Amino acid sequence: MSISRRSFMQAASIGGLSYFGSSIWSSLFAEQSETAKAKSCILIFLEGGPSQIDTFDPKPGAATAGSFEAIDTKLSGIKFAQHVPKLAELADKLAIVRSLTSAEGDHDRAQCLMHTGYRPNPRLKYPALGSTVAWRKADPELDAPAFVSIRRKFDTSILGPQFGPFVIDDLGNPAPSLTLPEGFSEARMKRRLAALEGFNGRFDKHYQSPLGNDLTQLTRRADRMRNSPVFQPYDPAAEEPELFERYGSGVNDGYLARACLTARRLVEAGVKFVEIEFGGWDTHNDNFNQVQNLSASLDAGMSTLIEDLQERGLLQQTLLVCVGEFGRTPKINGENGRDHFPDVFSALVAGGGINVGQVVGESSEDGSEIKNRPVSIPDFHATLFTAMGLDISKDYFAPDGRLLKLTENGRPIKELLVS
Amino acid sequence: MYRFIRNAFTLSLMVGSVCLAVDSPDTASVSRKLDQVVETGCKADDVTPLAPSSDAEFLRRVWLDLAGRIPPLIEAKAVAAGSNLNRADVVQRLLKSPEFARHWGRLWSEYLTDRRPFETDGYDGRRLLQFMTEAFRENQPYVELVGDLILGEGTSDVSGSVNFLLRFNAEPAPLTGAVSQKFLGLSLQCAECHDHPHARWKQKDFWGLAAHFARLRKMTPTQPEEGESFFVVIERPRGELIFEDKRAKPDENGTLPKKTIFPQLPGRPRSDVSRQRRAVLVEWLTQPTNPYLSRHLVNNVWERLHGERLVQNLDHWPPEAASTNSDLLNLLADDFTSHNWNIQRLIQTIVLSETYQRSSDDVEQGDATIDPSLKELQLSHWVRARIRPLSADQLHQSLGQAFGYHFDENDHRLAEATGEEFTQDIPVNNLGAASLTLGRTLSLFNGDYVRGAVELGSEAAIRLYGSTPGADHIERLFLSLLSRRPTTEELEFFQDLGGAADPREGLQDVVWVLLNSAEFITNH
Repeated sequence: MSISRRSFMQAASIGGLSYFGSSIWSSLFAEQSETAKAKSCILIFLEGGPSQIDTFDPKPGAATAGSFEAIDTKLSGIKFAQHVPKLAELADKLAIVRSLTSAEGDHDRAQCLMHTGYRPNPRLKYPALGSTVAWRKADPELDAPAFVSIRRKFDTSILGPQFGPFVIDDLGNPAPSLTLPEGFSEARMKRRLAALEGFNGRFDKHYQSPLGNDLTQLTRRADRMRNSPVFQPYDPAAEEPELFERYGSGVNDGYLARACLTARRLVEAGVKFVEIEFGGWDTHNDNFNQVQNLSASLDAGMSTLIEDLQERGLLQQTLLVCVGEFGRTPKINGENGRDHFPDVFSALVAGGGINVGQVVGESSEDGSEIKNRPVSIPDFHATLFTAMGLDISKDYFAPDGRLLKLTENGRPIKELLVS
Repeated sequence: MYRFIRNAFTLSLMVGSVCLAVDSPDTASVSRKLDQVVETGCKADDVTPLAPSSDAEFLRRVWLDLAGRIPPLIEAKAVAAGSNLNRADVVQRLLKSPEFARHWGRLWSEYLTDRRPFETDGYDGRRLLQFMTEAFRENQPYVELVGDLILGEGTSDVSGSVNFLLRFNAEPAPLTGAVSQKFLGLSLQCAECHDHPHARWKQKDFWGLAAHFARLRKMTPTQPEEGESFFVVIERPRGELIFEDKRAKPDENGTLPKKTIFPQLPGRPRSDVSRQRRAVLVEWLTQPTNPYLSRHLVNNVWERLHGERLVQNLDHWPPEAASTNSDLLNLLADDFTSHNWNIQRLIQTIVLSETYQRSSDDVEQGDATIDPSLKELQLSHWVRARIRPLSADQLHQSLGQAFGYHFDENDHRLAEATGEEFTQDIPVNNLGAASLTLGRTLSLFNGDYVRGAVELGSEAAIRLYGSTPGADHIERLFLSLLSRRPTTEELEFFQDLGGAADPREGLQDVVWVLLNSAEFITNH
């Protein structure tokens, strides 16, 4: 019988200081000493693939321009499409990447790539951005889970269920089973958890599985969430009505407004990564009416989020990202729609660790190809990780002992990063 | 009660075949062949199989897989008392049970629609669920079932099968993607928009197939009665699939010329349109020479029973070189098609093989740790049973089995029971590996539903054995929830827990721990 990594680790920890021990400590130290970096990240995921031409990379005068006009932004010479005026006004607080490119034009595949930085692999589920951040930036003092996802579900990755998100479906009542019945003592809960840990330990021994321990950790995490007020029911219309309105509570169904406001509260509570799923961008037909509506929500929600974070002094420590799985064709189809287009598309990045007020990359006159500075999805990920103070050159080991690079050959966009 | 309307074509299909409801006795020889294929693979790679499962292990596993819930207390008790389990009998009995039809009807409704079987804006998943449950109860030959689903017509609140078409809006392109993916295991969808240089299926194939659905029409009633909501699917006598020819040059206004697509199936001349088009499609799909229909079904059933597919999909079928997995697929698919596409027979063959009946428990290893790569090899050679988290539905049915909980299947309170997975519009493919989530754990940790089950379970033990938690209580709870007796140490461990506080609370704590344990929430 060969010596497994686990028994080696046990031996190593018994021996006190060890090779493993010291390398883990030094990497933790390196990550925490980076003060110029973002502590948390909010990702607004534009599910379906937004039309870059009708939002952040307009092509006025081109045959592919569509029916929207281009408007000036705070950055001279840089235009946005007409239905994101507030973001245009805040463009000096944004970095606009206009040359993202990938080869995945299918929703599922492209969403996997955009979330994990790896193309889909049926045998190996790579962690999504939020899981990786939760894993690398775990804070043992934090009662809230490190990764919270608003509406979007994720498969369990190779990091295991512990680093999956807590998913909020109902923004009015984020965690429905949180309050213990009256008279239920903390001592009793402690007893239950200790017994569960013991019994799950037996399971792991029998089945040679990490699952019992994963489950114990998840249950302990569920227990700790009780201490985090941010998961109690919250009504922004009663608590902060004016701000909620600025977020866009009256725009469309008000979902994004509520989601963005919740994201701010979560970041305030120390959550490391919040993903907001904002769908509806798959505009194969009736593109222009749909993008106009969606833009209204996005414009109010994201611009207010930037201002709100700034007013609270949180913008410099929060990385903000807004991107979809791909863009849409410059060509307008017979149904007045635009189809999937991974060749060249845009993203917005703002907040901590980012050199804002600039545009990176450029698409051609009609938007059909990249003109300069192609940015691959792994490059994009490398940029985000670096902005959060993670070292992408390092070899990491997943909990199951597997070697895991944060990105596959991704190179950070240097000019985007605060040095 | 609801009637199921089947159209004339479906009826003629039904008459044309004999329904083999009785199980042929010779599945044992096929199971043996299956085991031989696995054994050959193990020998080649020098992999040692795990020991055979114990009766208690098998009983729990096969109940969860076939009936979607843990075994009842009385059966677990009999096994624990040492009575010899006749595994073939258990399997036969389960295959004939209403729980089997319910569980597999549900699995397949979820698979076909990517959703939970609820009523939605576009179709009525509950009717489809009834239809599928009935199909599994009757053990309808799979070719007939596929025919029924594709040939559905009528109104969504009456016909079960028509809701499959409605799930895909009864439109040619989505239906073509669904048929190829769900019945053939092929990702033909990509060919909707373009020819991929390496793909076998071309855009022409996609649209030629789609044209068989060209005359379908989804209609809404013009004057529905109050509170009434349904759709009707009809097939019109005329109409063709017409779309813009994106390869042609646009005219001076920029509009592309229109092109009519006639029905044509891959590898065949243009379809004979004097017959009903969908019947031509069904005949092509279900012909015995089609390698995909049977293999995809086998692959899918295997995944339900082993937790992983034999092959990811059939896009590259047949493989360049044979492997254990392709041999298994061929073996089972050949037996399946030569026995009238009998799904119950297929399930029986798999679960009565030695392969399915391997243990997952390494207890013999004592404190030694197994090399993870060896474990990985045992899993990929199918000689170590996979540990699989229960689906939300299995969990839920199991609590019912253990403590007699009853509830309405369509009740949205289910959502509270095990967390976010129960929301009706979440694609089911998120449920598999993802079902161990913090949201679900939180619901098990302190959900109302679970709290109720904890009380019910502890009260039942108190009624029988009095209010002081002792060995009898603990043993009964173990048998109810884990289908096994506690070991001596476990008895001590849980008696300590039960005695740490007020006896009633102590017993609730015991139930809570068992219910939240990895052993309860997985099939192993």
